Order: sequence, then structure tokens, then C-alpha cells
Amino acid sequence: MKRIPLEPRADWRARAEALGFDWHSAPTPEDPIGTYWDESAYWELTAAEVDQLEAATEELHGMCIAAAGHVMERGLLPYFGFSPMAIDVIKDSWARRDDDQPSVYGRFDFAFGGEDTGDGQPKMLEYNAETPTGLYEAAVVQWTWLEERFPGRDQFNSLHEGLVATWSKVGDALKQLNLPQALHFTCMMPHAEDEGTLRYMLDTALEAGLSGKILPAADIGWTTPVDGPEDTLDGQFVDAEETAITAMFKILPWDWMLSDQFGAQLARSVMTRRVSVIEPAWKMIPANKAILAVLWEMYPDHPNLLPAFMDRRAFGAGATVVAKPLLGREGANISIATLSEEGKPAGAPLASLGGAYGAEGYVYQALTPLAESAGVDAAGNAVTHHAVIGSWVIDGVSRGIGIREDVGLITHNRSRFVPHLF
Amino acid sequence: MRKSRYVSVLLAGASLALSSCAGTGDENTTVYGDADTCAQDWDAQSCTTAYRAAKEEHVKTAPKFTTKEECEAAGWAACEVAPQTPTTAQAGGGGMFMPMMMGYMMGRMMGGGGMMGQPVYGNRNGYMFAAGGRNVGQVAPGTTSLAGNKVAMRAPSRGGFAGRMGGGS
Repeated sequence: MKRIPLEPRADWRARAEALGFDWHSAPTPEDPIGTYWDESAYWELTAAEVDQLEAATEELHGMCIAAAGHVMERGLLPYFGFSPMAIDVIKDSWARRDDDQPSVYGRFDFAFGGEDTGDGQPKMLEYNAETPTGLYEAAVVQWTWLEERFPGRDQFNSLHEGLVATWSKVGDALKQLNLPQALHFTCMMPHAEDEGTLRYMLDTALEAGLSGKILPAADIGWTTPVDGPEDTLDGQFVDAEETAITAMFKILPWDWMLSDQFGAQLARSVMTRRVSVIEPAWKMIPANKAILAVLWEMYPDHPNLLPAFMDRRAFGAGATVVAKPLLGREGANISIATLSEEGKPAGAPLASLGGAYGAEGYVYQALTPLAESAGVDAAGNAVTHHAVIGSWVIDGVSRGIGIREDVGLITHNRSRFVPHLF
Repeated sequence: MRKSRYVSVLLAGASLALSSCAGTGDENTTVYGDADTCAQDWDAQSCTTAYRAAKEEHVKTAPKFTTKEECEAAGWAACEVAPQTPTTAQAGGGGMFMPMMMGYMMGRMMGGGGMMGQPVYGNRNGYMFAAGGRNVGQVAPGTTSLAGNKVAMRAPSRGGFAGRMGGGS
């Protein structure tokens, strides 16, 4: 795996925008350029490396489902930092997962740099099994980049075809459930990146023959029969036109929705089959970072796993570990530290990010090297680029990758997206 | 090749295609099980007229199936034999089935005095649909008849999913 600098296309911004990719840059006062889509370089993989990533992705997806089963059998959900309501919804969804809980996608994040990095195996950092983004960038934007710059080369990316085929199966599942083959797609708005991902999901669902409609989460309505009590949980969610919401795709974490004002209504509606939600609630289990410790216990020394424990004292003194909040997202509240004799951080963390998570608890994972490359940033300073491989699972199948880069050790929501080929 | 043969790039002008009847503008969409129940809220004559109109509309527009099993497999709460009409008779007749009319919608049209009567069907999940697939209310799953009953829905409350921004990862 090699990082190769390349002069960006002169009109890359216009080309990105022509694709509807309006979140290609995210300028801030500290970083007025705010590069997000970064085609000043690309990563070149070998076919063998692609095979390695594909095999690891499918094996880990299966292991995560087995680990979720283990969590349910042993009653471990209380250790995951979930509310009692979330636990009820997860149990119901898990029990019905093979019947009526259609699932579309998820994304593993891997530390991987080929044979020169660590032991040469992809290492699972986490599984974004519930609300992954970066999908349009991977499926469409890097695909069109490849078509223009290297039309003869290949890319690990059959995401688009996978999505259309999966939506078609979702349509069949809704039919089985006697629900209209129509979905509402929702996220918090305004939010350029989440809205873009949502539009792409809608596009692929429409291509599969479903009908769909986007609405801001804040516009979702709740209505109850006039002759019943006003506070009943037996009502229905409706959109702005008062059409019933019977199936919903959301880029909004379950744990947020369930702790919100309509949380109890949502819990009741999914458990009484009044509404079908994608991703289904059981995906909260593998999306929770506690799954890392469960996996390590079930599959110790698996080549694609890193040592991970709920108690950092399980690591020896002098170990460098990454603390990850159980429900954290986008790198928030992650810190990297070397442990003292007492199993506490010795001195200042090597790296850390702020955020609003952590009260729910942490899991601790051994630090592992990322793919690295010396380079220069947009301002011309010498930096080290660290790459994390996002590997997509569409309907249980490994369908391609998107690479995120950062000069820091922790990948976060502004880390750059860099295309790849092989 | 490991890459997609094609991608579609429709994002710039994402089109919305949900079959909704946006802005039908009904002031009131109460569903009544029969004319007597309707007469509790409206004058009896209008209720009977609207009921007859709904029944006629029902025979004309309800989805038709060759067998009762097919009708039930489509998810309807209850199915019945479709009456013989010149059209169904021509189509090979005798064995046509359609969902039972669960009740009818009655209300004053926005901006005018006209009354309406529209058939309403229930599916097994308890959703009630009017012609065109518009959802008009909800009853207990498995309900097949609204006789002696009415269902009206409160104006929706909104903003119950607005607590936090973002959410992708």
C-alpha cells in the first residue's frame, strides 16, 4: 500500500459539485481551506491487499453477529451503557433479526498498511454498524475520479451495485410485512454530509424501485386517535403531509432517538411492527465499542483483532492503549496514553480529542500502527499522513473501501477522504 | 474488475417520489364504520348519501384479486367477493375478490361546503388506507370492521426528534 502524490484536477471543485458533493470542503476559522475531499494524492493497493481486506471484512462481520448473540445470551447489554428502553428495543429486534429486520449497511474501520505496517494484517478499530457516512464519497466520488484519472485501473468499490441490490431486497421484506414499499429518509438538518449520504441512499432506493421521501428529523410528527388518551403510545409517525411513516431509514443513532421526546413512541411503534427502521435496533450492539472487548474474549489473538478490555488494568504497565467511549462517534473523547504501574495514564496523553461522550463508560484497545506516509499539508508544512481504511459491508457482503487520512493519530469527522486504486 | 460497472449521480436534483396526497386539505378526516355512527357528528341524510357514494366507489375502485388467498396475501385485513358488474363479468367473472370496506371517510372539504364519502380499507398491521394509498388512521392490528365505531386522529405534534445535531459517523 503506497501513497502517491498527484496534481489535483484543476476543476475538481466544480466536478465535485456537479455530482452533488457539496461537502467536499469544510472551512473553519483555524483552517480556511478545510480540505475534506483530497485528491492531491491517492493510495495504491495490490490485488492481494484488496483480497486481504475483503476476507477480513466478511469474517469480522460474521464474528460481530456471533458476538452480538453472545452478548444477548449472557445478558451483557447493561455493560454497553444503554438505557433500559434501548435494551428492550434491542432484545425485540435481535429476536426478530432473521424475520423482519432489514439491514443495509455498515463500515469497519481498519488499521492497515500492507506488509510494512505492523504484522501486515488489517486490524479492526471499530464497526460503524449503525450510522456510517462517507458512503457517497466512496461509492461515487472516488469512482468518477478513477474513471477520469486512471480509466484502465481498478478500484475496490462495487458499493453502488450492492446498494441497489440490497434496497430491492428491502422492498421484498416490506412487502412481506404488509407495509407500503415506501420509505422516509431522515437525519438532522441542516447537515451537509448527513444530508448528502441520505440523498444517495434515496437515489439507490429509487433505482431499486422503491419510493421514498426525505424529511428533517425535527419535522417527524406523532398523531394519536382522538377518542383515545392523548398520551397513548399507540399512534403513528407521520411526515409533513401527514402521510404515515411505515418504514424509515435514519442517519441518527438509535440511542439519541430513544432518549429524545418521541423515544417511547418509537420504541412502542417498532416493537408492535407499526414502523420498520433501517438500520434495525440490534445493530446498536456491534456499533457499540464494548463489542471490541467481547470479540477479544471470544476470539483471543485473532489476526484481525487488537487486545481490548473494559478495564485498562488488564494491560500491563508501559502498554500504550486507546480509550474509546462506548457510544462515541467521529473520534470524540478518544485519548491515547501509556499506562503506569497502577494501570492509569502515565503523564499527558499522546493524543486526545474532546467531545460530549464518556459518561456511559469506556473500552480500552491496544494502540496499533496506521499506514503512514511523509508528506506536506495544504500550507506546505512537512507532516505525517495517517490513513484509516473504511471497509463497507452491504447486506453482509464486503463491497469496497474508502480511505480517511489525518496528520493526527485520531481520525475524526474532518479527516480527509483520499481516493484509492489497485 | 472490483469496481462498479456504473454509478448513478442524481444527487444534484434529488427527486422525491413518495406516493402522497400532499395538501388534500381535508379539514376533518374522521373514518366512520357506518352511517349511524356518522350521524352522531353530522346530519343523517349527508351520512347516508356519503355512505352510498363510498360503497359505489368501493366496488369500482377497490383492488381486485382472482382468489381470496391472493387478496389476503396482499396484506388486507379482510376480503370479500366483488359484486358482478359488466366489467368484472367480461373479465371472466364470478371469482373476483377485493378487500372489505372497513369504513368511510366523511368530512367537509376545505374551502367549500361539499361533503365527501370515500371508502377506507384496513391492512393486517392496523393501518387504514383511502384510495391512492393515503394513510388515514390506525386501529388495532387485525381489526376488520369499524361498525359502530369511528376513528379520528389528532393533529400531529412535531419536534420530538430534534434533541441533537449530526449523527453520522
